[in-house]
Amino acid sequence: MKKSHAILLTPLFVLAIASCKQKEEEWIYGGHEDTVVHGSQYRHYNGFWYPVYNNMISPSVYRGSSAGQIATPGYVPARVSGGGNAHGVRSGGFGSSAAHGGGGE
Amino acid sequence: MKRITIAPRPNWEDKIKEQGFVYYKGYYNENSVYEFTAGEVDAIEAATTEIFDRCLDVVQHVIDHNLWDEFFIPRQYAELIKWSWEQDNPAFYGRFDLGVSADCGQIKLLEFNADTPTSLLEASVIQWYWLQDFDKNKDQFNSIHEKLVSHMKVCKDYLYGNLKLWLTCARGSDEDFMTVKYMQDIAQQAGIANDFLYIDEVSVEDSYLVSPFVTPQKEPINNLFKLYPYEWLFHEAFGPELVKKRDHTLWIEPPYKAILSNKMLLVYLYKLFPNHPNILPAYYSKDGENTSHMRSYARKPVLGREGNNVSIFKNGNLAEQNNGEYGEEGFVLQEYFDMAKFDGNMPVIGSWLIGGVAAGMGIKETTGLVHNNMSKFIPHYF
Repeated sequence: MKKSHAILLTPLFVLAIASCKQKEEEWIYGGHEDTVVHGSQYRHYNGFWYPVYNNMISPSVYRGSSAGQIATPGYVPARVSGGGNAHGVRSGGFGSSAAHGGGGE
Repeated sequence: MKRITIAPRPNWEDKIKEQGFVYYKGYYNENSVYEFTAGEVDAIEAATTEIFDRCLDVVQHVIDHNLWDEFFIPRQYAELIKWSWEQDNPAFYGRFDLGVSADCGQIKLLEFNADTPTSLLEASVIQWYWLQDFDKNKDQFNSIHEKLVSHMKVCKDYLYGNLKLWLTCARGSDEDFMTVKYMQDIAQQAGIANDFLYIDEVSVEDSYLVSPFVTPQKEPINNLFKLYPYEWLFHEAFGPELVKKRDHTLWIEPPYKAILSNKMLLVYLYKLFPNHPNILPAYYSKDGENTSHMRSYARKPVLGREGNNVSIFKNGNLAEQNNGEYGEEGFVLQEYFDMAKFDGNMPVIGSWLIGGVAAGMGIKETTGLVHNNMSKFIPHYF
């Protein structure tokens, strides 16, 4: 057997989940005019193109892209904030008071 | 190795969110799964152990030969790194990204996320609970959770001062936050006193020349687990304090991870072990120009993250390119490995090490040639 026999999570983790779940409304069904470029689906919303996931877009998670950007081979939409699954665009850091992006990889 | 289309569980989104996978949108949809044979899993586990041993050989080589400039590590941190290596400071985890052939007969190291790996919760918890619903009689290469709890119990004896472990990350990323909160939960289960703060809250108390880092409330931070890379810490305002305070604040992951998480590791693995079956040819190039014999290769920035600024060249031509802000230190050119593809999807094995022991895997796949923030996490079983 190579799998864990049991996994239990403590209330400490449950509280962390609750604090993140409050932000779920960031994904919306808004926008119109979908397009597929280089295998990725985008939707036009407020003048920019956003990646479509589960038929939804998230302007608060992804930066809007121009038509020229999404037409570029290999183009990857940037996230508003960084993260392990995102691009770590950051400013400031350890020992300063400026905002940070994520540090994971 | 097979890719199988499956039906998502009823209410799967509610289930994974309740388990902490709140950053799943665009990243996980539970429409497919990878099936392995036991032999294939054994091969991945063995390769992980073998590659890790060779990586440790490179660390020793870098230290013995003072290759700080070659790794773009500021020399003021050399002694700290050597010290953390010689002291064998506690390390919790790391993740290899491995490319495999369809039968796992060929397993190649693509890179080592040694310092700040993520995708932890989905590999450790989410896919484990998924298997419980899918078929609990099947096995999974995933004892990450159990090994983390066991390893932290061992590490507890090596913590500094008040034995309290603080955990930190930068603001602004749900994934980083949940990863650190999961590690905090593990520490709790291991019986370690713990608390969380953001990296910009880690402070220096000026009135003491020799003292630990402190919280904004002036509580000493004797032990700090960080999801924040050394290459950033070294260049930021409090970086030099890492050296001054090394006997008062224990940083986990340890400073020698600055060598292992650096893509120059790939170059030196190939220099030291050119005929190794798990290691691809790799060369450094300041300007990214290819002067090697390689016709197909990946060009990666020495200090880069999440596929940013990675380009793929096939038969001498640019095949795919990711944007980004990295590349100032130059590039590593790594021979292209033609990985297994399933219906146009290319999986990369994220093989986890907990306390230096192969502990499980999580799989990400992409339809392109470069893994990036458009990749998907796919569960597995065998």
